[in-house]
Amino acid sequence: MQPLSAEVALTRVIAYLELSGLNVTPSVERQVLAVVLEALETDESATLDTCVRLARQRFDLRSVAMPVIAPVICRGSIGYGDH
Amino acid sequence: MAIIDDRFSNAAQQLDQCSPRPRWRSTAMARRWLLMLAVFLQTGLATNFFLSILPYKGGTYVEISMAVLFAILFAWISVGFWIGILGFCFRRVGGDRHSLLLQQTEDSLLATPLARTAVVMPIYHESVERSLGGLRAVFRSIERTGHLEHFDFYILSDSRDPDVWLEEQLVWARLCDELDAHGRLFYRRRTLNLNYKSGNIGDFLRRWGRNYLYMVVLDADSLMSGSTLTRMVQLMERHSRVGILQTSPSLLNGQSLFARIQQFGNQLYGPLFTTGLAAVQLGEAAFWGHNAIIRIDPFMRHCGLRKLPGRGLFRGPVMSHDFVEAAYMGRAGHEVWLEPGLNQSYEESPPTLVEELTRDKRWAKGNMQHLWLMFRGRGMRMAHRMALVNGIMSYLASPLWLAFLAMTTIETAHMVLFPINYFPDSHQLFPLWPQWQPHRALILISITMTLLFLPKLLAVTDALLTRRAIAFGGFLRMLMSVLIEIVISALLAPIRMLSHSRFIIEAIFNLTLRWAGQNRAGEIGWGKAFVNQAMGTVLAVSWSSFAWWLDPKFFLWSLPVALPLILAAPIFVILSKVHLGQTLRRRKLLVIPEEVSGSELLEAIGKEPDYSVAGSPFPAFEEAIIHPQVNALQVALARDRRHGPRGVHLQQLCFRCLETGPQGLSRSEQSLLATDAVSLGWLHREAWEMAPGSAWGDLIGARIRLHRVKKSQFRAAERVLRHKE
Repeated sequence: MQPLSAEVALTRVIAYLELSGLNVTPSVERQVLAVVLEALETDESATLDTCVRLARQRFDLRSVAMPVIAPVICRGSIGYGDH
Repeated sequence: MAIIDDRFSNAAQQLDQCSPRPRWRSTAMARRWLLMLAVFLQTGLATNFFLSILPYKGGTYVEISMAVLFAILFAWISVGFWIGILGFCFRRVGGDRHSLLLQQTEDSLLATPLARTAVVMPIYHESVERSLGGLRAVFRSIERTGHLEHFDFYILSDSRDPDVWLEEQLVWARLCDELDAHGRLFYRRRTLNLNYKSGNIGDFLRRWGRNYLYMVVLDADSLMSGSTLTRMVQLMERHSRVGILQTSPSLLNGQSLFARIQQFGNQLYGPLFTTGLAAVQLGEAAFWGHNAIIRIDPFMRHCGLRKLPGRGLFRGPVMSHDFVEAAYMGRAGHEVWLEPGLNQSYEESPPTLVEELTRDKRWAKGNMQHLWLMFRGRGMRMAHRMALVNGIMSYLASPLWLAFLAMTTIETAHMVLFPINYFPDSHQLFPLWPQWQPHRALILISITMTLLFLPKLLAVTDALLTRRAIAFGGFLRMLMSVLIEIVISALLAPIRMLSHSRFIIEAIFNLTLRWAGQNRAGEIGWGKAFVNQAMGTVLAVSWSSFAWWLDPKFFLWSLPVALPLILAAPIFVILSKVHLGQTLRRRKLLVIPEEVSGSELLEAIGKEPDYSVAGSPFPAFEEAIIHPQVNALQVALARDRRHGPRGVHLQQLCFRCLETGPQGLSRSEQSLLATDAVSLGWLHREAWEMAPGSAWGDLIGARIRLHRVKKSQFRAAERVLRHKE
């Protein structure tokens, strides 16, 4: 049996939130269900993309701490000696 | 920065003020003359003896050629023999008083403050887990010394495959978090790979070289302890003339039988040869490209490598850069030292013979290129030119040996198939009765074997006298291991000879070689081994069949060379087996001190965390698009590259990638997309909105299933832990 579009959307949004580092508590689950419901009411044919988009807007997803990739460049040159 | 600049100029002034001729130079000269005298005398006597064995006593062109080849080859092994003898003698008297370490006391070194040092690791398609896991172990080891504030770490990537470099970036970011190394551990990937590894190092130096006084170069498989690294910096601070200080890396972490034999030989015999080599080279040693510390200022001023202006092989960038950089450092008046007393410096052996030969193929070509510099390089010191000769002969000896065998076959065929010439010299009065002298040949072979094996026996003696035998499994097991090593080395010698000969011919004809990283883990299958060695096996069968047809006695003489070549494929496969290596290890055969007594570095790389991409089997490119946190990191590391026509091309690639999935793009197209922050962000957003049944929809479905499996495994593990508590 094919899963319902709402079922797919719910699974995907919860996975997205978990992979984004959010702790999925019962309260979060209720919010996700509300998002799915809202998406279904908005446009039944585009439930999945609406859900993902709404979830990104509604939840405070942790931003990644970006390490310093390199120090400030202190330009020098390579020489060839006297030869 | 001003402080570093002052130190640069102070170092240069100190060098100018130093006495014009350091004391070690006269000692080095005396030792080298003695070495040359011993080698030439020995070679002269042996060649004379060899001529007496030949049927015409050197009276034909073939015999003259044989004698010349014999002399070159004998001189080559004679150098190794005397280096080993010297090493043994110096170790018996407690080391060479000229060595840098013995010039300093423990207190003077401890009192020497450290200076800003960059630890750089150039990588190119290496195992990310092993290379960055090794860097992690080095970082931790320096941290334990309490001197971490003097060191910065740079991962210098030349990787082109997006699945490799995206993984490198991810692991680097995780290492920064894990080690709390933000602002101390950096990552740089060149988008344009010029001039191989030396170009990568040069790129680092041009950008950040002036921030540091010293640079420690590590290979992807290098390991060095913090105490050794701090000691190296202190030695450099105490000896302002020294431009490069090279350690003698020991092999460790071998798993396959081949790697374990290599590391056993390296650890047991290595100290003898490196002590001898260091005693002859003194301040004019070679640089081996890694596990060494470099004084950055003179290196930047004098060690730029110009492209070779010749033709064929001798045109383009210098491939084997290290020996040349040492020569240029010497030319600029700086010293290059090999210090065998600096222990806890390690690297790994290639796991299989195939990998070793793949590496040798690059090195052979690189070393042959040095012929140009040897003859045309201006101002280089004789000792460094000799180091180039040494590198060239490491590979050129093989085709010379092959030519010698060919000459021997021609000589035998001439004796058997053609009428005997009793008057090879047109002016001779009496006939010559040509005859082989097999008993004298046996004596000569015994002498040659002595030259090859006596240093190994001396290394065993040295281990016994210094009570190191226990670290090699005890006296009897050490002897057994030496026997295994000698037998396998004898089997490998003809295989290496034939392969190196092929590499030299390829180098001369300047065939294109692939510059790829080592496979540091895999075993070899039978198919690959047979294909790899088919030509050698066919040649060996043909040669020994011809020898049998000529003379059964000659056939017997051919067997020590022909048999290993005929059995090359099984030898390759058996030596690559990890379980054989581990079985011998459990029986304490072929063990090394680090395995018997323990090593914090070895344990650290054994316990490295799982750095595979997000702990998932997904390729890094897919993970960079799917995983929200990984995507955020990769977007932050990428740039906006949508300027001009490239923007249109990138958008087209994005559409294609979204429609067909990653499989619809080539590696270079994936790489291009992954360097563009806008594309990565757009693909991430769009992919998550794709319905099941589409390329990305299915990939996301698979990723979610994996996530759930991992989550349930994690919860199960948590329950077990709680239950235990």
